[in-house]
Amino acid sequence: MAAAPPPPRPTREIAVTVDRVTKRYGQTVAVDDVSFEVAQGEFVTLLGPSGCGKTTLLRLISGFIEPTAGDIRLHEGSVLGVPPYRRNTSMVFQDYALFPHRTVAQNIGFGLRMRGVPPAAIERRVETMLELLNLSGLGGRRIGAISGGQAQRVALGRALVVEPAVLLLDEPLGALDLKLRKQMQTELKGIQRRVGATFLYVTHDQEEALTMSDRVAVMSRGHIEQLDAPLDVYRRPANPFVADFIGEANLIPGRVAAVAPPLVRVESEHAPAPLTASVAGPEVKPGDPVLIVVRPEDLHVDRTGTRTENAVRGRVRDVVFSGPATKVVVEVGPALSLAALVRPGEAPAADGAAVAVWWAPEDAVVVARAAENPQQSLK
Amino acid sequence: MTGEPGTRRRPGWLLAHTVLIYLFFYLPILTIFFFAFDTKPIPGWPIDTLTVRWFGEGLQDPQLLEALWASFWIAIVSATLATVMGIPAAMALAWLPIPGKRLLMGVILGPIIVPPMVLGLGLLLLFRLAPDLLGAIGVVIAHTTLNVCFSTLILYSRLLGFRRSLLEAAMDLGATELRTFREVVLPLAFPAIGAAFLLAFTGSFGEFIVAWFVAGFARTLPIEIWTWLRYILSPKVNAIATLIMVVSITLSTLAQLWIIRQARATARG
Repeated sequence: MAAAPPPPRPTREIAVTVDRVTKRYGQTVAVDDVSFEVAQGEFVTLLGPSGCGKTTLLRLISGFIEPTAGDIRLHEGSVLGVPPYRRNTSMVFQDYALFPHRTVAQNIGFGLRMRGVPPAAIERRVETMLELLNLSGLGGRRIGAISGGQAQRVALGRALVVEPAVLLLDEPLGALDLKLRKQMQTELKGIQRRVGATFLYVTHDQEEALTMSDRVAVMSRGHIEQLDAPLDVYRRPANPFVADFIGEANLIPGRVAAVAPPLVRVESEHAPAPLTASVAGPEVKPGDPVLIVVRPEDLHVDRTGTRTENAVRGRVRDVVFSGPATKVVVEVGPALSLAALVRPGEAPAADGAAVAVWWAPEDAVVVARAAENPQQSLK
Repeated sequence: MTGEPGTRRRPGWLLAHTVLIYLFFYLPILTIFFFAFDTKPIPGWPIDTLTVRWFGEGLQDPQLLEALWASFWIAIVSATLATVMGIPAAMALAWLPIPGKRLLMGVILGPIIVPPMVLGLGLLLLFRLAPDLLGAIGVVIAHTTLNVCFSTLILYSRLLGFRRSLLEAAMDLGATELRTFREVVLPLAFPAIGAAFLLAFTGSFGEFIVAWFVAGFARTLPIEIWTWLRYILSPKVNAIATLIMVVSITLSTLAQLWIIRQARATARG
């Protein structure tokens, strides 16, 4: 499934190159022939469920583990065989890994001290970093005497102050509560922009990925399924996994009837007439088994149940009010239910009434699926 | 039951039980303690009048002092060796993926579980290959063998709870392995290292059986005391023994407190 379209080649200088990297543990393949590049100053997120290989990739780049095959290059060239302490990368750990026996300032200055920077310069750069992170005055504090959010920023500062070629962040917001996490998302992005650092960020939280990143690499089972700008990953998923993993998606199985770029017509057992959607990723040709991907917010409900154009029919099974939008679940067949988000006033009653749901062709895309099992690799 | 109304029920028998257990532990020790102050030259019940004379005489006895000094430096050297050897062993056991690690951990207590007679005899036979080692050096080697098990176990339990990310963070920030050890492992494991050293020290200081086998002509304090006891029951010995007990119990209590404290710190981290 590494057949995702090649990402738009960044024009800026390349900070990190991961070149056909594979990491095996015995029979288990943690990272499977992965290639990508991160440009200078770019914010790239590796997004995927646990066990997809995203953290392994970070550890490969930082040098804690060596790849089974492939090459990893930083500015200065290949770093294969170079120990972590001589690689110009720094990591923000999930548990922060702040040294409990050192103060905030000593933690931030640690990397500079290891690099032999003179004490006066260390002090100056630590002070600047404390200011940047809104931690002024906390330099003398013990690590045990600061809050979780502050600890998070100290960890960031400690990694940032050595001016690494790339900053590797391993679910750095995972330990924070929801509110603080949201706030730190904005702050993190702001800091990254201000200092122009290159961020390679790992998370399983899609909202975090979509909010902060310039590009998102959706990973599954050691592969990159798609590497694109957040909007493209969301609007134009390359395959069923990405469609299903990012946000909520309705997946309607069918077969390609005709292709007329950028549109494609799909015959489906669930619809009386051929359905129309856009072509997103790889080429499809007539006869190919596909899934039509429609986001709930792009699905409209026709309460009269009469619409036939680009519509499927079903019965209202569930209506869930949740503030700004109401979710309407329409049962189309025994194996297919579709969810639509409508404005609260436009929701039908959950009475099993016959309705039609439809979408605009440009709001839906088709992705290829394996012929035998339309729900392959989902959930 | 027997608890007073209005307070939390704390049965009287539990207190009595506790007191009895501690009496059971400490009565023999307390006996020595009391006899150290007995005025009679040949200690025996009843103790009528008290004196501190024996402490003065004991501390002026050249033979006792020499033995005390020998035991002291042997304990220092063997405790140092045991601690220094225990650190890398504990790091390897706690951090590295070693095949058969459970078995290794299982047999690490071997020298402690084996009867000291057997260990002593084994060492004696071994030293026949190098007879020059019999004596103080032999005791140092024997005690190091015993103590390295304890120190490895103590350090292992501390390092097991050590967050690996701290090591990785240090290396990621440019510290070599050695520097990481010095900057991160050593300071954070220091309480455990101190505790291991203190336990090893007290263990060596009072050890008699194994030492007796390999001491040759060297006389550690326990050997000296034992030799004395074969001829006379001198109150000087009681006095010295009392001093040593006070020091040993204090040291080992400190070590225990240290372990408990750092165990709590680890649990919190």
